[in-house]
Amino acid sequence: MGKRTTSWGTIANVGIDAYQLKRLNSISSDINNIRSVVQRDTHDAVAAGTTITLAAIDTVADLQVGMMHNLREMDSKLETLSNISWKIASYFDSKEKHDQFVGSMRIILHYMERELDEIEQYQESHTEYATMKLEIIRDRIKEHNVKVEHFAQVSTEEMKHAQSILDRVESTYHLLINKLRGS
Amino acid sequence: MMGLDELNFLKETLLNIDEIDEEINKLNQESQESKINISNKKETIKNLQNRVIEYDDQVKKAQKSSQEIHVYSNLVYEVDKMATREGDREMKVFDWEEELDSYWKDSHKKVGGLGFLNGMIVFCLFSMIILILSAALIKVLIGDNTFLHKTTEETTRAEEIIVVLYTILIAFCSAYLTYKISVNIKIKRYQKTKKIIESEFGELGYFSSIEIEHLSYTYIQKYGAYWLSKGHRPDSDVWGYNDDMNKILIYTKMNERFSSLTRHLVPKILIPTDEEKSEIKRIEKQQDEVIALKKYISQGEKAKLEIPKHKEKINLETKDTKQLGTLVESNKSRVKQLDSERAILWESISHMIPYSNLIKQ
Repeated sequence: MGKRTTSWGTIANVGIDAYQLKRLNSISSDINNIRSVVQRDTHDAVAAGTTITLAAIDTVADLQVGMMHNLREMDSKLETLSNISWKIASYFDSKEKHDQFVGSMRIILHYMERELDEIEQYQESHTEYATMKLEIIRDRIKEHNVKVEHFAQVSTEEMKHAQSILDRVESTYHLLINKLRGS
Repeated sequence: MMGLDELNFLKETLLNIDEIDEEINKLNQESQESKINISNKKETIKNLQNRVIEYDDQVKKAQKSSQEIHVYSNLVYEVDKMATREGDREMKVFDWEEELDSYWKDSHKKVGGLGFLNGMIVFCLFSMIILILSAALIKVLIGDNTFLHKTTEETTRAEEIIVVLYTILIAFCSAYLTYKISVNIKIKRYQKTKKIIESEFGELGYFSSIEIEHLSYTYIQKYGAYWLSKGHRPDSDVWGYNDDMNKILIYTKMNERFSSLTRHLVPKILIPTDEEKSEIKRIEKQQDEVIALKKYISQGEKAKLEIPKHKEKINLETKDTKQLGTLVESNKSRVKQLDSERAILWESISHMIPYSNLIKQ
């Protein structure tokens, strides 16, 4: 098999066929249940010991679809923003549209942060998968030209928040990749 | 396996799964299209088979028709005979109109000139004769043998009255005689023309407008008939029918009602007898039947040619359907194989995907 570059679009969509698209909502809800339990118990070993089962999820493929939910949401918002090259002020003249746009930026940060939190929960037990997800996030940041300056147009707090998330992506990734190299 | 190797394995496997998914989707799509094609082809085959059944029926009908058509073998002769008779009749009508036309052109001039001249000559002649006869009569009555200028002086008052009365009587008589002679000349000329036409076309007879209308002659021919019956051009509107049986105005000086009531003097030969009419009806009916039979025979001949073509098409479509069916089956089997490969790949990386231990087995 020849060497291939990891494609975000490919890996994130693996397992999504028409049937799974129909079930996407129930899969996502199942994954969210797990997240809430894990957050509560702070350790996945505890979660594994509970009686939780994935009612809507039958296969690993379905699980993969659910796990990639945050990234897909984030990517769709990024697609919109990068298409207009982040020119928020000049692109939208009405306040309503401007607010809508700022909302999209906040959603991106929200999903990115949520994904990082999730990665944090299993990065010890499933380091390879966590690293792969971080690689995907980094690819998307690079591809869509996500910069802290874009968020400065919203507010200083937003800018600082964005900066902290971007730093967190980088630091977590380096941490995990070093771990993999060392193992 | 080292950490980085595992990471690469995870990514590689996910890409492989993606390729398998793509192939499965492609095969499923192809199978779906093939199934639609199979359904369409089955419909086409059904239609073609129905057409073949129709063609078979047409061939059978044609065979039956070709047997039946022999019954009418004599019809061609009868139709020819009828057509000759009709053609002959129409030709005569045409000649007859020309005859009428030339007659009326000549007679108009002659009758007009003759009436005036005759009147004058007859009037003078009669006047002279009556005057001489009156003078002689008066002489006899008064008992003197001398003539007019000598007897005038000797006449009495009563004699003068007799002369005046006689003169008036003579004038009336001469006018009446002039009219009668003129009319007789016209009638004789008309009878002469009638005789000429009768010698040419046979006996003339009166027929109603309706009878004439139902003949297959043109309105011009009917107009000719009117001419002959009235002895002059119509002085009101004349209506007739064209070839498409639409009513049209022929001549604007004969009104419709008058035309429909008028009886026409027409050569009897032009009007078919009742026997002829029923014969025409029978022949026309048989002609229609022959036309229908010929149509069936022609359809049958075409159908005979179409049957092998349609059967060939059915064979081709059936062959295609089988091929598509084989493709669907082969795709199904390939998808099954890919599903199995896919399951193995997922199994190989499931331990690397978080929460996979929570999936119900």
